[in-house]
Amino acid sequence: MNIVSAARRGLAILIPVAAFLALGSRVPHFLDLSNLLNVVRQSSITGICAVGMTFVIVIKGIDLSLAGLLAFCPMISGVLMLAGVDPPASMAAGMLAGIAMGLFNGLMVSRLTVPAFITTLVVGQISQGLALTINGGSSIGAFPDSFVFIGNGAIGGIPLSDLLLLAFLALGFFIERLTPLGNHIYALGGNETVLRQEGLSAARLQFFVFGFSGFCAAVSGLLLSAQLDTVQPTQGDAYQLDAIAACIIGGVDLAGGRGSVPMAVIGALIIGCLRNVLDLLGIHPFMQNVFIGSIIIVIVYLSGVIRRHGELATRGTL
Amino acid sequence: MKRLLTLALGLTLCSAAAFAGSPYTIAFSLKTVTNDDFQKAIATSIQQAVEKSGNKFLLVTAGDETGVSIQVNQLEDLIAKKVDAIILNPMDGKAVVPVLKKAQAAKIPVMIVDSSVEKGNEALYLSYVGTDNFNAGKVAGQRMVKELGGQGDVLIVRGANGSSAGDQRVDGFKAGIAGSGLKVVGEQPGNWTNSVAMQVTENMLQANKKVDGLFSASDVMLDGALQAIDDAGRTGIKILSVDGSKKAVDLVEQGAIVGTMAQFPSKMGTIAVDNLLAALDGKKGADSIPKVIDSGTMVYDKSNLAEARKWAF
Repeated sequence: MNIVSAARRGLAILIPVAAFLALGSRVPHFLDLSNLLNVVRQSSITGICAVGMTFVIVIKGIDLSLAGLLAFCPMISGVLMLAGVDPPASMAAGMLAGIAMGLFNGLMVSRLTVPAFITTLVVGQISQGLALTINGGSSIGAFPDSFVFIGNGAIGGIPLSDLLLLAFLALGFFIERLTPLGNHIYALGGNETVLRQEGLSAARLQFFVFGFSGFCAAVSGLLLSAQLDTVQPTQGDAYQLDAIAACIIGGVDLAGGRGSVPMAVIGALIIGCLRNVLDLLGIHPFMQNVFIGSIIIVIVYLSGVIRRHGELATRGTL
Repeated sequence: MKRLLTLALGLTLCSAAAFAGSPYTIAFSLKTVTNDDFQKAIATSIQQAVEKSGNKFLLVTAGDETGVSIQVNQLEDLIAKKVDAIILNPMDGKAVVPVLKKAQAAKIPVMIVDSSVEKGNEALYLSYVGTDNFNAGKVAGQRMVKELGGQGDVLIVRGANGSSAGDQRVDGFKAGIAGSGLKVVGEQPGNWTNSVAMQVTENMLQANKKVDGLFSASDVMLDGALQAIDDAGRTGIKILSVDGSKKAVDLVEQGAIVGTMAQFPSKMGTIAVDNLLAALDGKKGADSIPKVIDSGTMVYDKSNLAEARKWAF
């Protein structure tokens, strides 16, 4: 990859970031440290989902089960906690449920060659239905303090949610750059011949990628419930499209093979900043939708233009 | 991009100018005002009361019937923005508790309207202004017993799952029919929207060949339920609802429904603002404001149409 195209790709993200900073200085309270930490905290749910979603999109898949898993997994943990099971064990059960659902997605995609779009949508609906059924459609809440602390507590002034997002960013980056697994995932999305020449199994990779996405969804659902001190059976709805939008804004290519975890997390932060700024400005909620939609279109258009002009690389870089 | 920046910048400056010189900024946070006359009536009455007193009103809607966390994020943003007071209609009585604690820590007084907050958190807000939803449901239940002569099968179209106002109305309705020969043969959430209400009513009618009465947790779902009944070719089903909207009063007049348990959304807004301003100005101590203020209920039916027209929203 030459320096010019790297710089061009960097611009795709730098322009909006610069715009936010310029705007930020005009918005009262936006650049307050407490507000910025608050924005990162609000973006952590979308961000953690986007880490798992990045790999799914890189292998030309899509994960539409997030909305359901974001409610189903914490619902299991929540019911267990209220029944007196200690929080770590309950949370582990929720995460296992997320991984299991994700692996099921992987199974359908790899062995039965059902399109990811269909299997994940259905798994999402099943999870959503189960989340509603478990507690008769009502929300549950009033969890142990140690659980609520995860969502609302801070260490050294930094919210735990922010640290968790950082941890997932690091985990995703580690898998992407520092393991052979990362290379194979990009090979599966970009150039399957390489994969076959090396004698690697596409199915195993698909299992891993969808299982990992399920895990990310479970953790992010648990975090959301810890923030709200509630499991609401439809709490995941708002995050499904935001997670996909975060990836797209961050330059993850829906055609597969290209994109990186840190950029997708930045995409999530951009969406979070945007909503926060519009709230701080007191922009009418109807207009907010217009703004957010327009900005997504502008960013996607810009990255398209940059890609056409830049050379085709097999992997995106930060 | 440049043009977008200029536009955004312009908007920033405009809104900054609007803030200057107004004593209090009072925000009202709720789920939505779209296609919901009841919430619109509350929002309008709050806006009028706030602006009449020379203060600034800010409307914040989550825009999604199920976007609990969006509302919580918006409330956090209002705290970061340092508004002077918040009026809140919570989408989920439990999920707003952590953010109410943050508002209290930031010393921003909060007034709750319409839907209530989970019991045991009364210290987190000034007061709750709303209809005694359980009682409204109970009155509807007793009326249903009378309409059906103490015998029959009834359906319930609930609100959105997890909504305390909706749950209380349905619990009240069930308490009202308890001990009579009435049986609830189906109950499904209509999510406070006509399209969902229509779908669930269709399904419940499909499952039950004999239905004598239907209770809708809100007037905003009546059109959907009536459409489903009409499509199924059923007649003679007695319908009762809660809210007291103009739409429902029209339906009472046409004989499509028996009656609606009236609430007074505009009173809710005015009471909330009056008490909030008194507390902000220090005219009333937080202790002298009652924790629960009932904005009242009344049955609108064929016998009091003229009266109903006067109050309906």
